[in-house]
Amino acid sequence: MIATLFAHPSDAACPSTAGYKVITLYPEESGYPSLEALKAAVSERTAGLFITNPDDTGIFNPIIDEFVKVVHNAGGLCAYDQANANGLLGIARAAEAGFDLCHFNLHKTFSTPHGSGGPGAGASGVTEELARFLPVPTVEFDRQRYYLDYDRPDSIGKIAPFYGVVPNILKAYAWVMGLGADGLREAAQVAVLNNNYLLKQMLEIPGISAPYAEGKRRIEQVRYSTEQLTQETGVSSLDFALRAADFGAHGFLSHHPFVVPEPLTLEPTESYSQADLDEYAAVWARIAQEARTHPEGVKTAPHNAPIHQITDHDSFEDPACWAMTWRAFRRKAQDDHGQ
Amino acid sequence: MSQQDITAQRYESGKPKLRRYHQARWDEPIIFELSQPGQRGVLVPEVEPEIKEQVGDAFSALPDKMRRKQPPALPEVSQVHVLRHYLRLSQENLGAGLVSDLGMATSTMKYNPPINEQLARSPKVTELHPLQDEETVQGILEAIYRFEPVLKPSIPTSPSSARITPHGERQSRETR
Repeated sequence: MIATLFAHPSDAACPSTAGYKVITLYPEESGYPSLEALKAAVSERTAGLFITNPDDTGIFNPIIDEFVKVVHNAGGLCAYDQANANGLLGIARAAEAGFDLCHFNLHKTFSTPHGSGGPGAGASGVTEELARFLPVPTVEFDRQRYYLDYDRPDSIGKIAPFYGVVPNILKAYAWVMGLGADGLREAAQVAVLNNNYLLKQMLEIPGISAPYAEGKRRIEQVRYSTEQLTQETGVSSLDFALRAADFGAHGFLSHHPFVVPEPLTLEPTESYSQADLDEYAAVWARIAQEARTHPEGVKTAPHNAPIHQITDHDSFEDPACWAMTWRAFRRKAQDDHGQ
Repeated sequence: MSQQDITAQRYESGKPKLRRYHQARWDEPIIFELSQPGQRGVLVPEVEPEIKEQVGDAFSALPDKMRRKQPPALPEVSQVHVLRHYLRLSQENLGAGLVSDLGMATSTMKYNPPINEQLARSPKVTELHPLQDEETVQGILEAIYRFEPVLKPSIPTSPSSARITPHGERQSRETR
């Protein structure tokens, strides 16, 4: 299986878990891999391509259709992870690029809540040739009643308990029908506009850059780097994200794989107003200034949170420190007291 | 009265003034530690003697060795204390809807309209069980069935198939 470096990590992790060998393509300065690199990776052993587009840099691979052709010619299938579809609704489809299958995250693009490992729901799209392999059950209608169809001999089977997260499906359905086709396109357009508006403001902050495809516009998100600022001040992008909490802004602490040095990834979506974005950029400008004048203050942030910095990261990784139930907590607390 | 720009005080030389934000900090025990013997959220009425007499001992069919020796160790807390407890915990959280979460990277943290929550939290939805006979869940099946063709135009080549499939996403600290 072939994935790209800045695709969602699950695009490499899923095939790897299923026993495939995964080849990861590295981006050129353009932000996406060269066609030559792809051609060098494919062979008669290629099962397929599994990628996001745009990747997590927000850069759209404009020769995606040629990528698909190369993999098809080698006999592989192409899967489009639409995790980053929020800038593309009503604008570009997996179909035009020739993909064989794709999936949307209803809990991202289609506005159902998620977080803290919270409920996801997926919508899979496949070509007619692949439809018989879809998981069971499917919902069918015989013109009188709706029913669940388990009688699909070529199906890959059941992949999750029951019928998925039904409340999320309802919420996403309501959201889509509320906006309509034009509304969805407008949401995507505003998401892209918001992102590029924020990009311009962020790049005006000395020491912050947006690696790859310099000077070009992005789709719906940007992976920034505070590398220069960090070199000058010793304040890392993680310190930045933690300090942001003092201004009521939630920073993302994980940027797997850590390839962009000192990463900060921002995705404004369509939900933020111009004033929201101005305020948000002002927060980062303020922290950048603090990094130069009071670096210790940033490095010890957050100061206004109920818990400041968690330095004992080992406890997270040590099952002996976990207590999933009250009974387990009491047992472990007793053990700690040597009783 | 002269027209006054009431938003002006939010800006300083054209730039937004930063909002001061301080999270609440409660010295809040975990809910088991709040437990007070005898406290209840709901007081269930005593069964009337006539009913008791008619029904008899409903548990007599259970052999002794199958019965719990002790009641489950649930916290004994009144309704108002449960409410206070979780409100306090929520005040200590950087939650969606409270703070700016556009920095949550590639997670696409957009606004989740509460009206859609209201729909999904209707008893018509929450009181369904996935093991019910499909004849009794026609409405929800219809919703799923009708949503699929709506998504279909966004999905691969025609003719094609769009399916909402059971899909559990586990998010970890590493990937979102």
